Formats: sequence, structure tokens, C-alpha cells
Amino acid sequence: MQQYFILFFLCCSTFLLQAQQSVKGTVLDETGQPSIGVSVLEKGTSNGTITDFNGQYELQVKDKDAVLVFSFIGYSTQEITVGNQSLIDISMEEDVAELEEIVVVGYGTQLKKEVTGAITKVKAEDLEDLPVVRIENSLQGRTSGVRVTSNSGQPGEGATVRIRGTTTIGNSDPLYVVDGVPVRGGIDYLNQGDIESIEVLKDAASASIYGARSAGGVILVTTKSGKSKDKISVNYRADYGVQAPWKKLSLLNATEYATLMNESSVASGGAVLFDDPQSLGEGTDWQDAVFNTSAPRQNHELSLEAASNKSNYYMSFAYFDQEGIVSDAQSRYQRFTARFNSNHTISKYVTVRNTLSYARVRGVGVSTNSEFGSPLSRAINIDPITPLLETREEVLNTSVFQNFPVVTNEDGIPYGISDLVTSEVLNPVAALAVQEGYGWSDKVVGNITLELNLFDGVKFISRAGADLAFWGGEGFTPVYYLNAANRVDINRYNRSQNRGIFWNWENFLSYNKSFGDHTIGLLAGTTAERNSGQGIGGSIQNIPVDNLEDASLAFSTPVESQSYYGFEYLNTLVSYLGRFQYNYQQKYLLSATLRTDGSSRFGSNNQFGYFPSVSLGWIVSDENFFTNNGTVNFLKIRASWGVNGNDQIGDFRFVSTVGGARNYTFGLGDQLVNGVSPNAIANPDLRWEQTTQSNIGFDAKLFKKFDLTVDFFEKETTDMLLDIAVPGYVGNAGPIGNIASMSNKGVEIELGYENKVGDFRYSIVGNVSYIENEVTNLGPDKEFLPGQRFSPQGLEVTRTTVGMPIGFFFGYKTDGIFQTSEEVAGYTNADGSPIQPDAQAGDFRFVDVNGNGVIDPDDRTFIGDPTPNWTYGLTFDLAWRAFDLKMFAVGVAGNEIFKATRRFDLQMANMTADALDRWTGEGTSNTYPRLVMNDPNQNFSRSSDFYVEDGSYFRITNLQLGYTVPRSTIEKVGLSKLRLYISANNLLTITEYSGYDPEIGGGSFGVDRGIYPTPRFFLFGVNARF
Amino acid sequence: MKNRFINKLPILLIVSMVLAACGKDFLELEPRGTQLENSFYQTQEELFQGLVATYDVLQWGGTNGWTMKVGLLNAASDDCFAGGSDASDQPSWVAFDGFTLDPFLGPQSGLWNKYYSGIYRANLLLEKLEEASGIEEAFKARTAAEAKFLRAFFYFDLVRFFENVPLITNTLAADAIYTQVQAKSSEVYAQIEQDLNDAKNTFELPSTVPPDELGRVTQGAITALLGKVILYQNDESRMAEAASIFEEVITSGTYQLEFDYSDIFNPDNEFGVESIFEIQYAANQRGGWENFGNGTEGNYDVQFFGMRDYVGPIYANGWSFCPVTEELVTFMQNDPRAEHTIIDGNDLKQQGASYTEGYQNTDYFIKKYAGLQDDRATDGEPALNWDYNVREIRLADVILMAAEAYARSGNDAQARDYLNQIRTRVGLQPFTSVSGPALLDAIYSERRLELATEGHRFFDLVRTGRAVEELGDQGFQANKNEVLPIPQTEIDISEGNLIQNQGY
Repeated sequence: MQQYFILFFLCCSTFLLQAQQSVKGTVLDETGQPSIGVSVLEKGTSNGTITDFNGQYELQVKDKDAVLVFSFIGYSTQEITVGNQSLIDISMEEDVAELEEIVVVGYGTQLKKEVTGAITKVKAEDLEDLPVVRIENSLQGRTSGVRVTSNSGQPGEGATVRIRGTTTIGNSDPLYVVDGVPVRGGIDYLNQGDIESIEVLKDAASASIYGARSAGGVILVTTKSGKSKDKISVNYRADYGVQAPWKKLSLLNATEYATLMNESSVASGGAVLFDDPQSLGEGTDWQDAVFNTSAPRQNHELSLEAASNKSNYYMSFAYFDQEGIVSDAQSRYQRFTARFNSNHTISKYVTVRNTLSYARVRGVGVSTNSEFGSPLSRAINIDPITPLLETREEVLNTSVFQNFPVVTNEDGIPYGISDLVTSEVLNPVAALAVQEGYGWSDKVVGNITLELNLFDGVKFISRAGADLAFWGGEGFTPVYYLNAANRVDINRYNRSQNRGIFWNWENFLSYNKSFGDHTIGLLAGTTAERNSGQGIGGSIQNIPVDNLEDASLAFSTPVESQSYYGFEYLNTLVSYLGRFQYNYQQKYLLSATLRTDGSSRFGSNNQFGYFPSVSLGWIVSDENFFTNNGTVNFLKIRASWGVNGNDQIGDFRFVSTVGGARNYTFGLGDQLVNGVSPNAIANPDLRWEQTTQSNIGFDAKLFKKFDLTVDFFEKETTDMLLDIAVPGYVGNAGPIGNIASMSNKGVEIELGYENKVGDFRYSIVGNVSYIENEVTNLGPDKEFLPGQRFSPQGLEVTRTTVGMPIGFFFGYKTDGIFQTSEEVAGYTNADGSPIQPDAQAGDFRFVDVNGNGVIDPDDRTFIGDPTPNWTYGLTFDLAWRAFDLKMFAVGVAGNEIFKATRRFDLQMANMTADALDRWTGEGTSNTYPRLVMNDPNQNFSRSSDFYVEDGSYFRITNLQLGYTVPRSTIEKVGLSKLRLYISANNLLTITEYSGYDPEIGGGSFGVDRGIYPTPRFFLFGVNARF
Repeated sequence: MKNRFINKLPILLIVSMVLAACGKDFLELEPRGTQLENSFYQTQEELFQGLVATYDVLQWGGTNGWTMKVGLLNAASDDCFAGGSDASDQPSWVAFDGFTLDPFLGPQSGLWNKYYSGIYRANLLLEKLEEASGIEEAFKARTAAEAKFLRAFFYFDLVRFFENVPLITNTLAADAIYTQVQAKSSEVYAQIEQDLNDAKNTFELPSTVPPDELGRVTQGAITALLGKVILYQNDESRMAEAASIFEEVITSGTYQLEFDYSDIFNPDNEFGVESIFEIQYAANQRGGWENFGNGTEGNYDVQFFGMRDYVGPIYANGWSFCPVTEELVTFMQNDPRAEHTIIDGNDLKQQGASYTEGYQNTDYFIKKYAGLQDDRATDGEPALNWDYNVREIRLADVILMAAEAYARSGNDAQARDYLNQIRTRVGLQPFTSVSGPALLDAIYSERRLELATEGHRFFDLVRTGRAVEELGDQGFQANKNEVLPIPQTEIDISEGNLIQNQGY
């Protein structure tokens, strides 16, 4: 009976199959040509066929619910429900999609589809023809979770890169690994044009294979290799542009300045300082004097590449030269780079690869964000009355100009010297004129990889890499007089030369194998690294020259006029690492890693650290139950957990070292004797910082046109190394300890959309990240860490406190301005006595935050956060026939800037024009207090919310219009590609911030001391391939 | 295939052997170019270097800004104003001068850190001396005595500047770092006296040192400081004791008054016959601005006191700090010491010199530490390399303190005698009959004349209760400005263990 049943069913099914449906159709490619060999499969069965020469197919399916799966390498797979159709024509779409894309991961590669961590890839073509000099800038706005802030607009300056927020109070910089070599020194030796791809390992699971250096995230850089099959391809790219500042501050002119200073002086009971302000006119525009509004920049790159079955190579030469927009001669960056990469398949079993690069850099710069003598800070603070060049007879006849080596311009006319604003606020142009010096570096980075295919699926890889760097500088200080406190009577020349060598050697075995539905990957390896270096420098005084070119250490001068110094550094790292990967049907994915790092930087009690991780993935859209309704075409859910470390703690910090030169002299002849004392207190338990991070996310393709990636993460940094701030009475610097902890959590979204309408193809890719940072522990002994300070008085403007974001702005809160003396008297505490008894109308009403009835230092509180909560980037690409238009924009929101551009401690320092709207009587202003010398209410000499402004901005960093000359035209001259383009950079910045630039990176995050702004520039470029 | 694999085995073996060799040795490195604390302080020479580092703190003038003791105390007194280029040149000097000090503004954090750094180095050295073995006992004893003198010296300045300070006599263990509280000033004074007595009773510490050791502590310096410390405690019952201690110095025969007053501060007359303790400054460290802080050995006061943009005979230019008050000029107008104490700028102008008038200009400048053109450093940054020693304790000061101690213990005759020694040295008429409070006044008056602009005046006024009277017009408030505020950073970090000084 049972057998009959089965037979019946078989018959039925056969009957049904045959009876149900026959489907046929034509498959075309994007250009409308027939697609040959496309696989057509009934989903969930082995029933299928492939298209013929005409792109046609025919298939019997079981019923109208059947789903046809069309797939072909390089094209995206399409699924179509048969329904009542018997003719299904489709056109295949090229698979821009990434799923088959290879992603570089730590110590290997992976199919993007199988990636279970949070990794973002930036491809060379996304960056092509962008005027990017340094790799940090190429990442700005490109991926979610990565915040890049230019340190300043000075040529060659780096940027601050934060992957998923500030991970530690110490060094949060990511680890750069270039072609497998961790690069510990500068990264600016990389020429953007040589980069094939950049992978950012954001979550702990992806990064933890780099162990004790991965807490700041890891950036993997892969350089190009030869691809041009059997033909040498030559590529030349060049651009030339002119830069200018995009904003000037509105400062008081001489008349306004004199008027306000008079007012200020009279208000304090002083004399009228300037009898006739009107007669002073506009005065000197110091910003014009300092800014360079036509600063050129140019870039040239030449590359050759070719590939055969056995070997391929890529070589390149590039030159970059940029002048700064502040001072023309003293701010400049020049770089030459060369690269040779090659791969050789020696036999079926042996492959050898190499990369080799050389970079030479020469840079000269000015101070970029300092109130102590940056050219812009001087331009902002010096009075507008002092002339740029002094021509007044009566002044030239004074003793100073007669007797001192005042600085003159090329025509011998002395630069003006301010007698109103002194201290470090010098005539900025004169100060630049006596600054002579530059820095240089020569760097060679390379590696050799030997890859042995031992047997079925087992590979042995040995890789040795090295980074050899030479760097130094020279400077000359001529005899000069800038003002009484800034003068040099004896010239001085100094030169330094340093050398560092880093090497690493990695050996690992890998095994990859599929057994039916099971695929496993194993990796086990060891690495060793050594990083050492040394430097010497010397100076010589009183040499018979007056400029840098002629200066030399070879002049013979008395030994007393010569001095030298030297230094060395050394650290080592030994690691063991392993990874286990498994997937079932490419649907259920698992990856687990473990790395053990032993570092010479860790104390003997804690020499080895262990960094595990595990991550899981599930491709939901490959499940049978998942019906492709056309809305969701692909869906992968990921989850990961892992532990990362940070070893950026300096060498030998766990021991107490003693330092010399704590000298004293004895005897009539002043014999100098060396004194020695400990540098700081010791801590033998010192170890790495630990960051534990969890990540949940998904990748999806929606409506076939949208790519969506969403990640949620939470990371907790513990054991943060902290210089333990100790009271002064301890008498020495505190030790460092593993003390503090911090948390970061956030959401990242990346969304891309691509479409084609007629001849227009366009895409929009955007990403946005939201992050919250909180310092959760600073140890038992401390409630806060001091941070940034401003002015010679060391006004504390940032602090790090438990329960708050790192480095928040700290100061008094103001509550408007007292309009009348009645208001002053009426501002009373609980006892009825005035809170600010000494204030007058026009002064700030400070908020008595702690309610103790007086304004005192305990009223200082949170007044802003320098770290943005929101970071976003937007790329827009439009192509129409031979034209293309690219727009790239970035922005941040949810942060503040502390605008510390005026030296409040110098009473006669110039002011911005908003001082014109100061309080001058009842009802005149509730935001800008009265001006009065000595500032008795400390309106300006307190850190307060008066200085804090919204730091959000949206910036179109690049707008580029390109034209690709049709092939038919250029083939005659042997070209295979020619693209011409014009590009506008930093075209538009939308911000409320009133300073030069809302992008304030570098060491003084969020405190603007008159930052060197990023320039706006326009350039023309050409990209040609032969 | 199998063969091929076997061929490669040696490579694998070599690799794994090399890796095995790496390991602990590869990670255990010795720093180069620096030494470790736990292996240092083993030899006599190393211990001596620890002592030198303690002496080093004496000459610091650049801790947290410009914090030279003599200049700051001059500015705070009625001998000088703050000066500088303008009111905002050195706000903490201006604040000390005008007593507008607050917990943030003033020289306090620099002075606090300086003295405690010195105390730490002395404490550490005393501990290391204790631990060291195989060291010659005589060396140990003398070194310990010098360290104790230095610790006492630093505490004496500290307690005078701040009054309420933690008393720390060993290096702090980790759990003691934040828990220190302020000691009573009497406890601090007791410790100072004990250290000085310990040093005084160390016979290995000599009364005089050979020329190449000048600058090191002598019995005279210890004794003079001990007397001064007792005098400062204002305990009338101990004035006789103080007098007898001063007497030891005066009658030791080691020191005598300079015949010519102008020789005391003659830069070529360092460690002159009158000098009991000098703080050594030197130019041969040849520091530049990059060493500013405490990395040079120069006397920054000399640069501060010089006339701004000065061009003319004799003097080098400076930054016009501490212009001498007209009051002092008037006070000294008939005194033969005036011409060796004060430079009259107008006089120099008449000789064709010029200078830029600074803040609070009076056209009168300090002469005792005035930098001479010929002495300006020729290497390094000249402003930071003045090699003029500070005459910290000189015999005239000790004689006047002895006079005061005698007067306050009822021995007017002896007091008068000592007072007259000082007067007759410069050709003034001796007092013959003055006694009682009038004698004390005369002694105080003589102290001002004799020691003007040497940095004694402010503390003298405070300890004798005359500060409000003399400095009130400058802004001095009683029960507040006798001492500096405790640095706010120090209050903040101590989490309530340190209490701010009264009035701040």
C-alpha cells in the first residue's frame, strides 16, 4: 500500500512537473547584448540550465511559486518568482556589489559576504583624482565610525583619526598596517595614488588579531600591484591649484581700537589713551599681512604597471609641493615618493612578493594653534595702530631703532614694533622674517613575503618587513630685536639627525578547506618586532654668518659656544596569534581569534597580554524561508565581541629611572657638577590598556539599489594608563598606572544608492555615526584630570571628570549682563547679601552653580563638549556621457569650540569686531560685557561660556567636474584614458562658529587659539593612461 | 608532492628554532642612556650626585613661570614695585605687589612645587644614604648633614610663604600620596630646628670649605640659619637663645664685615669675607630658551631688574622689573649705602643713556644685582645665564639679627653695639643712648637700609607685625596677605585634605 502511495506521488509529481509550467526567456547584459552561460536555477532544487549563445534558456519548473535564480560571475544574482509568466526576459546587472568582493583582514583576506566583523573598505577608485596628500585625509567622511579632524591647514600636517571615538585618555591613534608591516612612525610617506585599498577594522573582533596595539582601531593599507595584462600601462596624473584662506576674522581697525581702549581706560578711572582715534584711520590689517592668498600647490604622479602569468609589478614616482596660506616662505611641504611592488609565482608551490617604497619630505612650518607666538595669534592680538613697516621719523630716531638690530624687510625698512601689545605678541611678519629652518625625513619601508603552498589547503607564509627612517632638521636664529623681551644678541645654528629602524618578522601557517557544506579556515602564527632609534643634535653660537644657507656646525668656535645632545629608544614585541573560522553553507559564519602579546614596555609583573575575540554571522537572505519580495535582496546579521589592547605608553615607564643635569655649581670658578634624581615614581605592575567591545550589525541590499549597513557598538576601556597627577608636595612627577576607564557607545549607518536614468548614472553614498563618550572612572584618588590651559596664567579650560565626556570645557556659567546697579544689588544669595558685591552694571552675572552664595572656583562646571556626537560624510557622483561630477561633503554636529583667540591677559590686545556691540548702558547688550581695564569682575579672565560656541559644521570639501576624452579621439596619440578635471576644495563651510575654522584637531582638541585654517583652493588636473 | 614538502621542512625547522630563541630575552631590555633608580645611589659618587640635585633646587627660578624669590619678595615689599613692560607682563608679580592674589593668581604654585621638589630630593637622599652600604662614614655623615640643612632651608621658605604646609620627611608611599594634611607651623619649625641641630652636631661638616667647594653648606651657614629660624618664631623667651646662636657665628672668626660696602655685591667678590651662605648661579650651563624652567643655572632676577632696552654705559639691559619705590629712595636719601643700592636712571640719561620706561617706572632701579655689560653671558641665551650669586645670608644680616635678639631679650647694650658695627662700617654715627622700643625701631630701620632690595623686607615686616602699617597702601590686608594662598590646583587634587589659607 505504502509503495503505491509513493508511486502515486511520484507519478503525480512528474505529472505536475510536466503539466505545470515551462518557462523560457532571454537574458541580456547591461548593454543589451545577449548574456551567454548565465546559470538559471530553480531555487531550492538542482533543476537548472544555462543560457545559450543567444542568451536564451528554457526550463520546466514545478509550479507558479517556483523562483528562478539567475546568476553569473561579475553580475548580481537575481531571483524572480515565476507566477503565471511563461516568458521571463531579464537583463543582468553588473555586480558592483561587493558580496564577492575580497576584503583584507588581519593576516589574510576574506570574502566580503563572509565577514563577520565591522570592517569598512575604501577603494582606490573612490579616492582617485582627489587632492589628498595624506592617508588620514583620504578617510575623512568616507566611512562611518571614523572621525578625522585636520590638525591644521599647514601643508603636510596630519590629522587626528578617531575610530569609534576617543578610546583612551592617552594615545587613541589607530594602528596603521601597510602591506602587513605595522608602521610605527609617520604615515605621510604613502602616496595616495599608490594605494589600492584601505580597510578600517572598527570592531574588537576584526582588530583583536593585532592585540596590544588594536584598541584605537586598525587601518590596513594595501598598495597597488601590477594588473595590466601583457601590456605595460603608464599612468600620469597631475594637478595644479592655488589656495587662499576662506575666512578672515573681523577685527577692530585702528580707530575702533583706540576708541574702545579709551573707553576701557576711562572706565577704570584711567586717562584717555588716544587723543584722536579718528586720525588713526583703518590702521594695519595684520591678517592681510600674514595671509598668503595665492599659495600654489602641485602634484605629479607617474606610474608603470604590468602583469604576466608569472610576475607582475607596479612602480611609481610622485612629487608634491604645497605652500601654506600663512606666510609664504615659512610654511611649505615638499614630498617625493617612489615605489616598487612586485609579485612572482616561482612555481605552483612558491610565491614571492615584495613592496618597497622611499619617501623624502622637506617641511617648514609655523606654530599652528598657540597663543604663544603663532603668526595668526599675533595677527589677531597685535594692535592695529602699529604699522607693518616703521617709517615715522620720530620713531626711527628712538633709541630702540637706533641701537638695536631691529628686523627689516628686503628694502631695509624696519618692521613696526608695538609698544601697546608686548610679550609674545610680536609683529607677526617681522617674527616670520627671522625664523629660518626646516625639517626633513628620508624613509624606506618595504617587505618581502614568501608564500609556500605546502599541500592541500595548507600554506606557510613568512614575511619580513622593515621601516628605516632618517629625519632631522636645522635652524638658524640670527641676531635680532623684536621687542625688549624677544631679542637675540648672539646668533645660533642648530642641526639634528636621527635614525630609527623598525623590523618585524611574521611566520604563519594557514589552512583552508571545504568539506561539503562545511568550510573551515585556520591560522596560527608568531611575530617578532623590534623598534629602535637614536638621534643626535647640536648647536653652535656666534658664527660669522647671518643666514641659514651659510650656517654650519663646522665653524670653529670656542667649545663653550657648542653644545650637543643625544637620545635613544628601544622596544620589542613578541606575539602568538591564532584564528579559527568556520561556516556552514556560507550561511552560518563563525570566527574566533586569540593573540598573545609580550611587550618590553610592560612591567615584569605583567609581561604578556591575551586578546581574544569571537564573531558570528548569519546570512538570513540565503535561508529557504526567506522570500525575496523585492524589498530585501540580501541580509546578513552580525555580532561580535572581543578584547583589544593599547601599548602606547612609552618605553621603560614601569621602572623609575633617574635623570641627570639637575646640576649645581660649586667653587669660585663655578664648577658645574652633575646632579641626579628620579624622573618619576615607579610602577612595576604597569600593563597595557584594555578595551572590550561588542558589536551588533547587519548588511542589507534593499530594492536592489540601496546598500545599507548598520552597526551598534559598545566599548569599555579599562586600565587606562594615566600619569597619576600627584600633589605638588610629593615633590616629583607621579608614576603612571592602569587606573581609569571610559566607555563609548554608538550607532553607525552607511547607506548607498545607485541608479541609472537614460544616460545619467548617479550614486549617493552617505554615512553617519553617533557616539557617546563617558569617562567612568579615574581611580579612587581623583575626581578629575586637568586638561588644556590658556594664556600665561594657565587658565584651566578643559577637564576630564567621571560621568562626563572626555576633555569637556570647564568654566563659569554666565547668566546675561547686569543692566543696572540695582540688578547687581538684587542678585543676592539666601542670606540676602549680594552674590557679586563688587560687580557693576555691564558686568557678567555669573551663576552661583553650587549655591554657596558667592562666586568662587567651585562654581566652575561643564560648559561644553569638544567631541562631536554626530559625524557624517556624503558622496555624490553623477556621470553623463563623458562628463562626471563628484561632490564630497563632511560634517560634525553636537560639539562646541572654546574660542581662546584673544590674549585677555594683555589688556591692550586687539579684539574682534563683536566688541563694538559691547555693553555701554542699560539695554545695549546682554552678551558682551562692558570694557574696563583690569577687568575687576573678571568678565574676560575667567573661563566661561562666553568663550564657548557651537562647533557644528557642514563642509563641501570637494566638488569636482571631470571630462573623459572619448577613446576614439585619444587612441591616435596612444592614450587609453584621458580625464581632465577641475576641482574646488573647501568650497563651502556652513557653521555658526565665528573663528577661522571649526575643524580643530591636534593636541588641543576643541580649543581654538587662532588655528591655522584649512585653505580653500581650486585646481586643475589631468589623468592620462598610455 | 610529498617530496617537495619534505624539501621545505628544513625551512620550517629553522623558522621555529629562531622563534623559540625569541622570548623572554627579547623582551627584557635595559634602557640605554639612563639609569634605574633601584640600581643607582650605590656609590659615593652617585650619592653625591643625589646631593647635587638637592642643591640644584636652591637656584630654581623658573618653576611654573618666573618665580625668583628675591625679585618676588622685593615686589611684595615697599622697596620695589612689580614693574615689567606693562601691567600684564607678569600678572603674578603684579598680584603679589598689589596683594590682589587669589588661589589661581600669584606665584604660589611655582614656589610650592620648587620647595617640595627640594624636600623630596633631600628626603630621598637621606633614605638612600641610610640604605647604602660600604660607604665611607665621614662622607655619609657630611652628606646627610647637608641634606638636612637643605631640607630645613626649603621648609623655612615654605613655612614663611605659606605657613600651613604638610610636613613630609620621607618619600611618600603610594597610599600616602593624597592623604597629607597641613601641619601646625610650630611643628614645621620644630622639624627645621631639629634638622639644623642635627647638621650642626655633625662634626664631619666643616666650618670652612676649600675654594673648590665654595657654595656648600658650612657650620656658619647652619648656625646662622638656626638663629634666624628661632628669631622668626617670635617667641620672646627664646630671644636670648637666638642671640647666643648668632653670637657663635659672629665670634667664630670665620666672617667679617666688608670694609667697603660696595664690595658686598661686587660680582667679582663672590664668597667674600662677609658672605655666610650664597646660592650659586653660573653661566656655564649655557642654557637657551628651550631650557627655561629650571634647566639653566642663571640668575633670572638679574635679567628682570635691568633697565628695559637700556643703551648706555656700564649696565646691560633687562626687563625693568622691581623698579625701586620713591619711598625707599627718600628713606635712603642721606644714607651712604644708597648709591650702592639704587641706580638713578635720570643720572644715566644725563650721561646719554636711554631705556624704555616700563610699568610703574620710577627711574630708579636695583643696583645690588644689576647686570653689568661685561658680565653678560656670551653663550646660550644671555637673559637666562647671569652668574651672579644670591647673597642669601651675610654677616651684616646676622649682626642685625643678633642686635634684634639682644634688644628683645633685654640686652640693649650689646644690641646697640652690634647695631653700631653696621652703622660705623658705612661711616654713620653710632647710636649711644637709644634703648627699649626706640632701639628696636632703629634696628629695624637699619635692617631696611642695610638690606634693601635683597628680599628680606617683606618677611621682616610680616614677622614684626608692621606689614599692614607699611604695606597697607599697597593693598596688604591683615590676617590674609601675611602668606600666599595655597595653590588652587593643590587644593583641588588633595580632595579636601588641604585647607586654603585664611582670607583666600
